[in-house]
Amino acid sequence: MIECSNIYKSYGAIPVLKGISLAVVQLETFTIIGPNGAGKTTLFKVLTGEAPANAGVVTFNGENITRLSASARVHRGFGRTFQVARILRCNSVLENLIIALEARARRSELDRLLQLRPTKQIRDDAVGIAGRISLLNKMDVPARFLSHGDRKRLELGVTLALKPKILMMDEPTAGMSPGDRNATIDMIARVKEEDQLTIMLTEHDMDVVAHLSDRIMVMNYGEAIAVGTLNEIRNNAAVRDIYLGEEIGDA
Amino acid sequence: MQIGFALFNGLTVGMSIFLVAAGITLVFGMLKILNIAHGSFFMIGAYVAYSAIGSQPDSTWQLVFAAILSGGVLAALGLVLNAGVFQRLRNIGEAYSLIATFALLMICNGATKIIWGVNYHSVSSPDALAGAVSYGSFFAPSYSLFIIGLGVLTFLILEIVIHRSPVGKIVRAVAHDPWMANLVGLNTSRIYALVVMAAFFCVGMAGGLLLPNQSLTPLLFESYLLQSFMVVIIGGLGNIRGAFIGAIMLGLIEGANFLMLPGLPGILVYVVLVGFLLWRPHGLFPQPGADTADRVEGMAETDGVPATMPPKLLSGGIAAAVLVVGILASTPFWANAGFLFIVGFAMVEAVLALSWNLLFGYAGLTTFGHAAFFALGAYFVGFLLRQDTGIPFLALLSGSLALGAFIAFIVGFVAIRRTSGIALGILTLSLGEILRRAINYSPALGSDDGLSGIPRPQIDLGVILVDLSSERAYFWFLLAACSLVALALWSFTVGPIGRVLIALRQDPVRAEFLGIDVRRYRLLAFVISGAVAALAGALQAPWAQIVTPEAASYLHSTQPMLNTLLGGSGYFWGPIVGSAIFSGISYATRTLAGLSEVVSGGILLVVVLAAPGGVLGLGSRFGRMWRLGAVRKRPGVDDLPQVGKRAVGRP
Repeated sequence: MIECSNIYKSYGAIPVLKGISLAVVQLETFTIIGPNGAGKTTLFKVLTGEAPANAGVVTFNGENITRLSASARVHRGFGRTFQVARILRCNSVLENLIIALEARARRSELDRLLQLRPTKQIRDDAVGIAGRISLLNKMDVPARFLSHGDRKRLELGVTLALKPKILMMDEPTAGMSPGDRNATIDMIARVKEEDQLTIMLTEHDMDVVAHLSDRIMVMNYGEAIAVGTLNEIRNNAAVRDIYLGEEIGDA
Repeated sequence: MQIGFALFNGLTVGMSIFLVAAGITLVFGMLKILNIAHGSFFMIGAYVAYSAIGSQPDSTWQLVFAAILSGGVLAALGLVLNAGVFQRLRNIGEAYSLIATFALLMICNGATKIIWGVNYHSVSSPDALAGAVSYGSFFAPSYSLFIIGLGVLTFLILEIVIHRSPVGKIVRAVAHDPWMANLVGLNTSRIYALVVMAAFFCVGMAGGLLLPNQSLTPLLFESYLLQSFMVVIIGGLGNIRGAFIGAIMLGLIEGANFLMLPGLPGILVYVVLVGFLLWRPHGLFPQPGADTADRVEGMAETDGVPATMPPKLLSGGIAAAVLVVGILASTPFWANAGFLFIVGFAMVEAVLALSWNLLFGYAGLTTFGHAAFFALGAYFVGFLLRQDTGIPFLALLSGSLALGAFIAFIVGFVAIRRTSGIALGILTLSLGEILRRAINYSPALGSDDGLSGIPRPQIDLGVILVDLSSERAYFWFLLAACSLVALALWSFTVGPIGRVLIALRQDPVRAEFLGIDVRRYRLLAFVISGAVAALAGALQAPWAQIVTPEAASYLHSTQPMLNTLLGGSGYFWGPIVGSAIFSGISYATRTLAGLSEVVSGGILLVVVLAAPGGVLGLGSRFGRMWRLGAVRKRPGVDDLPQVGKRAVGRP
């Protein structure tokens, strides 16, 4: 579904990605792990179009999207969430969802421009999504007053409103309490099932990785060290080397 | 020979500018605030030195001592402002701190007029510097050599202190990461104060040193302000070496301008600057952390955003609008001609401010050249009305809309692609200045004097002929037109595209990942904003019956910013409230030169520091508190029987 080959990226003189290649197949959950500074987030930026690569090719369903802007990739079915949830802080939960739904609808229905209020359809859809992310009781709360976990959920809801084909999640459980973390794992598994999503994520928490991933890629210093299932990764000598002293062996 | 002379002159100009720009660079490097008021502090320095030595300094030493005295006075002023203003600006948005320093500029200029008067003074150079040094056929004025020497000396001192001394190491550490510097035990607030004082000392001294061969008027602040900006922009904000090289480049460009375009003084600098900004928006030596675009994109915590949808109940809003329009419509019956004139101006300024806030409050773009669009429309209509072409007035107005949109599309297409943040601000400011200067030197457009005696038009509606030649008739037409424009803009902002703009203003990255093409929508906002600004100018030309190049000046560009901020940028109607208040202030303080600037600037500064939501933000905060009070009161013991009765009484 999404493939990239030989991605190089450097910030100034510092090389961050040194020839990354990967291929994610449809309906797979593909997780990238690696120590801090391995280049996981930068790889995400390149794949989603937030930052251009210096060299390499990104394809999506066979189409070369290397030079497409982030918004053009969203039109093709990308959904993206961030380490620190990016939501419209001054707008309520309902408004966040409406703006996302309208952003998607606008691509198909330009004739709605003269209608100032959101349509009944859009409002109903917004309420539906709020139900899916369990924020129905906070519809009118400005997003900046939401708790950390609620913000992450709202961001997921906003992304789901775009009806993506692939969900790119950068550390979906970063900074969450264990309880919130389990709830998020369940929610991601559920929306993947309901919306038939392909998911790519980066994660530090091995619990989350073990629960969600079909395949895992390990990165270190801008290079892919290993790709495989959880068991293959666990038994990989190079990976053990990197994580020496960490708990990957008995996760 | 002529080239040598132009080069030498250019170098002198460059070093003069460097003396002024060094202070801006220091303040920016430390506080990340682009101090617009810097030119005014330079002017105050010059006036202080003038008060000390009068118009005929006895010796070079006297001039130098006066300059050091000015430096000392300004350093003390800097200490006060650092504690009272600059430190408070560090945690609010970039646009707000720019506007706060603009408020300081207004206060300083007003105070200068009140203290020293508006008359022209001149100071001659001391005898020792009055002559010239000659080498064969080439001669160099001693005073120019004096300035060049001082410029180089200042640069060397700053360079050595900042890059080669232990103090400099600490200063650079604090500038780079104040939080970390604080953690390792540096007293950051003392270092801030020290650097600000040093910067103010520099600018005060520059004021004194550059006093000779200068006409000392309250307009002096302008002469070095824009050039200093260019120097710091070219050099890379906050970089002394960059500023020094930038100053030399700028001086040489001035010299080239003198040789190549003697008829258009000062215009080449702006042209080069525009090209430079598009080529390297972050300057020759970009400083880490000086790239402020990211900070612009993240909104300050205190900012609000305008409503994303029409209110559920429109009746209250309609009633308020009818009331306001009704009162305005009655003005010709009870107001004198002067007041009526001001009200008309205020309505046009309100439309201009609404169009600017479409960029600032909705699209998240801060531009400093909005008056250029206004001037385009005003000159377009003014010129054609004077020619008596017979083109219907409504067609002229549509033409001005189209012209504004067309120019905005071209400018926006290039500018939004290449720049953001401060670079976009300075770019638009430069384009405005280019337009103003081009008009200034166009005899067909009346040059300095502008176009006067613009006739008021008639509108042929087929059935009836509406004659707008009387003041009253045109006032009502103006009111109707401004109301319609405001209504149209409002509908636009509470509709689906308004919601897109509000999304991308809050978080452009999120907007991009909602599938919104951020550049395209910013360009759309830019085009609509430019078109409406041009229409505002077109409406104003027959009202004032005169258009001058001042319509395009950056001072006029700041008017919509002030109105918007004062009223509240987070509210669609904020700019209108601000325009009304500002016009009221300038009407009430019109008798004393300078007072209106001090009062307006003071209010603006207080608003930015204490209530960034503007007057409407304050109002809504009080409204909320009042409602909360009411909520708390309802279940109070005293009210209980009543509540019960009401509940029971309900069928």
